[in-house]
Amino acid sequence: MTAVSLLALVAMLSIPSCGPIPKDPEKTTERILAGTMRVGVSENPPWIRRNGEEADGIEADLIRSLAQTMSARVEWVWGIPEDHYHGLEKFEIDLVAGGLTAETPWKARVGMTRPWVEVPLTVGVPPGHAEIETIDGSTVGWSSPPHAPALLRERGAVPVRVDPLRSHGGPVLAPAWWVEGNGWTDAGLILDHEKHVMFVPPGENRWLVRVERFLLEHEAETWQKLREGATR
Amino acid sequence: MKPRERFEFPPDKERLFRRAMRLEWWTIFFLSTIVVVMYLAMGNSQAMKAAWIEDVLSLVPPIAILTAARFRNREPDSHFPYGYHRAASIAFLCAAVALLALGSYMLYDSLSKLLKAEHPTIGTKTVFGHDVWMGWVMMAALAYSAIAPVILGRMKLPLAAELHDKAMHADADMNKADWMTALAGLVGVGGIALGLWWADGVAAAFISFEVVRDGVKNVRRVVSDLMDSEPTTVSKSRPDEVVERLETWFRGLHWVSDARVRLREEGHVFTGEVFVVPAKGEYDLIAEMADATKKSSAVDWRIWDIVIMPVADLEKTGGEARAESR
Repeated sequence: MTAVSLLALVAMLSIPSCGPIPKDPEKTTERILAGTMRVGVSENPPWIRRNGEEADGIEADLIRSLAQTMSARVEWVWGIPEDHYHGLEKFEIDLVAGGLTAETPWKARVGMTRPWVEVPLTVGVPPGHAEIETIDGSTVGWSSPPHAPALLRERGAVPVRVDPLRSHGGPVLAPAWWVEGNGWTDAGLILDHEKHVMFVPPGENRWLVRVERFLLEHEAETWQKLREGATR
Repeated sequence: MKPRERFEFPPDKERLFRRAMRLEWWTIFFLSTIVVVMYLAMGNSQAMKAAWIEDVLSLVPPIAILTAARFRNREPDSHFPYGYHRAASIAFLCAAVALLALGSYMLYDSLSKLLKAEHPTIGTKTVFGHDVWMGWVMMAALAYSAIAPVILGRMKLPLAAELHDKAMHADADMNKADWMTALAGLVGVGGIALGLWWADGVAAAFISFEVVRDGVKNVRRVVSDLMDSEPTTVSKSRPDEVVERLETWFRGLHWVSDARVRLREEGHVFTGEVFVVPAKGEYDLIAEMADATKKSSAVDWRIWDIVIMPVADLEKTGGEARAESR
């Protein structure tokens, strides 16, 4: 018994000498280094914006940065997230982005990064508006996401779709960065959290670790860009 | 109805019993911490999930043993004239069946995931301010999960032998074997680190298989106990020589011409009947029988509540004798 344990221990300790740990079973990182990064994207401003065949936006800029660190070129693949997830499963796509959140059953079938930015959906009031303690019975403006009216009704508020959101004279439900970026006051009533993630092929752990670390390094920068872009 | 006498441990065994109970409480404590740690570290690894389920299952035997201990020492009453001993065996049957059932499910789960060729995705987490690959956290958790059970298992095994407690022996055995589970888990996660996605599933299947084996072994043990099988030793399950020793002792009595014993195990004690053919001569049979009943428990501390039955003929006992007298 002791002999087997010692043998196993020696085997364990020699793992780090086999190169970067953990490895990719399908060699994704190796392929991307000085090669091509195939990124599946879907339009979702301010995260991803379509520009012909190219992509712009906060996530697109980050992905281009990441590719640069790997001396790789980016190949944008446009489509709906569902198609991209299938692509990940078949190892035909390397990364999927589009302002996607952790609220998806696909996380059991493909690799998902940890949330790298968590955006609270909060109630904001225009400058000069009185402070509010509750939205029960109030009319609250919203513009996105699609389940915002349901969240508002749960709290007894009356949802009204407003576009542009800025033009609403009363409280609105918006991402925290929108409230801050537009100089509105955060009422502190948080109705939901958007945990933003990206997706990678299942089991490609070396790739996942690299993407996760890169994204988390740029979290603060992302908040800054979100606030700056809020007035668009 | 005349209830049985209550069972009492001899003083030295009583001390060992109390020590064993203390160790079972410690087992529950350490296993609880292990369950929490493993749950937090588990992530997407099949091997970790299997090891965690096994750790949760390991909580059942100590709980069953401690609960049974409360029942054992209850005074037999008119409601349960044979005492409450059997509660221990029932508790252990539940534990063994749980092992078998869950182990089988785990085995099916890990094999089907292997066949579906699912690649486990393991990323990073922030631990004490550092971004660490979860695989390392899993390995640390696995190493932790092996330490306490192995030590406690080794401490409980000799106690189980001294107390002739099969439930405790099975429990200690399973604890001691936790090093194998930890090793399998380490190999599984280590395999993932090296890009061998299937290592995790194989490790999970191995762990599940061991759980099923434990379940089968224990179900067999408890079923034969509940079926009043012959007394067997704690570890090797060979027939216990207490049967022979008791028979020899009875045959040595001056008023006994011949004797046969019929014993069964009830948890950690032996009980049953002794059929004696009284020798010819002048003596007070009742007094001798009462004396023998008292003194026979000195043959072995595990002997309890022997009923002496005088018969004319050892070959024909019980039913056959009744049939003849019709």
